[in-house]
Amino acid sequence: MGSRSFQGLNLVLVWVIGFAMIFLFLSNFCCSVIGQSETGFTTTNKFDIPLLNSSVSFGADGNYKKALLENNEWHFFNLHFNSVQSAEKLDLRVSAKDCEVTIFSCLIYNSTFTGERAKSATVRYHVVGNGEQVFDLGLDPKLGDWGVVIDGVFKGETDGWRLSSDGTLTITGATGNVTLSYYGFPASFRDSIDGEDQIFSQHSVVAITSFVVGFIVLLAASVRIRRSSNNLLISSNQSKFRDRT
Amino acid sequence: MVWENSITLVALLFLTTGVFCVFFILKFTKDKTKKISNLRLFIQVAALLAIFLGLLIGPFGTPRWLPLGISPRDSLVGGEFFGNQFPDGLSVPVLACYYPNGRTVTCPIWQIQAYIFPFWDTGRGYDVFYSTSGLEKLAIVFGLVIGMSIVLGRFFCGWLCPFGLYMDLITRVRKFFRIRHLSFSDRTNTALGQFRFILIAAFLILSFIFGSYAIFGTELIPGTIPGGPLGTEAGIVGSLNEPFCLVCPMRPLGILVECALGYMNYSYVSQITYGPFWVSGFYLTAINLAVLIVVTVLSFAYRRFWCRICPLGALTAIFSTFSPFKQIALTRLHKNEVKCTKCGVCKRVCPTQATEMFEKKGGDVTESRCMLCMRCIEMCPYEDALTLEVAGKTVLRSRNWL
Repeated sequence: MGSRSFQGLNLVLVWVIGFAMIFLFLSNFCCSVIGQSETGFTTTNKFDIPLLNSSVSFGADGNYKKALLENNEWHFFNLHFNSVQSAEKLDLRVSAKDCEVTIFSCLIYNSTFTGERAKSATVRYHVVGNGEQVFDLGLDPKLGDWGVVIDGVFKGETDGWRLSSDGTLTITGATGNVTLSYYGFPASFRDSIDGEDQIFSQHSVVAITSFVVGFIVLLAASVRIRRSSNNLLISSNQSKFRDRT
Repeated sequence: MVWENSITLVALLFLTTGVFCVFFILKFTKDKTKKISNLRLFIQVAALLAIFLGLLIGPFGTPRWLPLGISPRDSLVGGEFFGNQFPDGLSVPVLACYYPNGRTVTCPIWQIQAYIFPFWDTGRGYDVFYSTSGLEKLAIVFGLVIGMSIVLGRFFCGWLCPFGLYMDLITRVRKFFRIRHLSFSDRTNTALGQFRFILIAAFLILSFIFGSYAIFGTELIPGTIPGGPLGTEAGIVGSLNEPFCLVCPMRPLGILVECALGYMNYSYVSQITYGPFWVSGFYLTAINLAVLIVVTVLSFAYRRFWCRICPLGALTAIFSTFSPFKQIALTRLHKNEVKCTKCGVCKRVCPTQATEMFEKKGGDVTESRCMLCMRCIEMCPYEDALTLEVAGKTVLRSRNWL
């Protein structure tokens, strides 16, 4: 009887596991079908910003989940280009003033920096009209560096672009092709940036160096003092000896 | 295999070999006037290997003989020892040029310049990331240099510097051809000795001027604003980072030797430029090459010519032979007034023409030009006339070899 109930239990378990596996297998298709509510865009789509006399368009086909115009800024949710499937879908906020912007690529991807994984991003666009463009990819400026190339010329910060504390890039005076590149720092670097409660670990090297140098100075000073006192003792003994003789 | 990547095993092997060789040299060198010189040559070669250890064993933690690729900074060994607070390697007061591959330590002059400009702020460096400010990095460099100078003084110049080895080998070649060396007049030699302090001050001031925007928030030279992911793009002065390195002779020596040995890709050196590579290369400039040629020729005629004007030697001298550091420096050359007969041998054999051990009556005769090569002790024919003292203990004394 015991063995029969054991066999029965086994049978139940097998059916449960089997159904679970089938469900998991099928759910990949179901969920992706249910989740698919993306909107495609092509090169002919134009996203106007009427109050700022500007427009944004794309130089390649792609998809986004949602696009909203808020405060003269287009906010694209889950944006990605069809030509680059491997890149992360990103949320892009873009605004422009007195110009027409055509975005050819906008990617966030993983790269390596000194052997560690780090996040990088690139935005390439073409601008017609002497206006202003604003980009926000939701990247923390404290966790990476931005580089801007305008018509093949690398521009230092404040030379035609500026970075706000919230990570918004504002490019002014650019006409032609512009490349915005973000080089993120790896996780180990972020720990040292974010660790407000790790004062000693953030400055451990200078602390240890100061301690070692201080120790050396003290040691050297004590050797010097001991030597001086020995010399004094020797010379005083010598003079006592001379006095006696 | 574990042993290939075992730092401890490699270090033990190195030390054991070193100790054995030192014993061998001291025991079997019959000529008493060559014992210390032979030992010094061995220590210099061992130091050269230790400084460029990465070329021999590959970066720690990776397979041996890993191709070094094209970037000269790929094989910095121990560069991450201090993490991203100080990722360029340990500062040691020798000309362990920053640019060649496979280094274990780094030239402090490069670090001082680079941490003033362009890496004053925290952030990206040359393929590294700095989580500490320039001030903090400078404190670490100066702390290490001060500590080492107090302990060993200019011993680094005489026994460990790779460029010193280069000049000593040139001297040995000259001696092989039995060509007599030339000497500067005392006045000229003194002027050269003072010139090196002006040199180090000039390059530090230049670095501050270039880095004025980052340090003071105002550009003293247009175009010195920070910018770019590599930290070097700063307008018209982008190619003038680390000004001393543009003239230092060790840089072309290290790079060209590594290219010749196959440890560095020559195309990388010639491609990374701001113009024709031999004029304004990132790793090699015409001035570098010219200075190397001039120093080589002059080192053939004048012993240890570069040491007389070396700014790194000046830095070490400041922290070991001038007050207040002089009062506590641990390695000193000492003269016994009674035993000295003023024969003048010490003055004649000194490679840098230091004169204090001859002119001063007695006591501490260490001077800023002395690089503690101990040739004077080796050649002094009177027992205990000259001694080397470390922390008050005599470690070397002159012997009656006559």
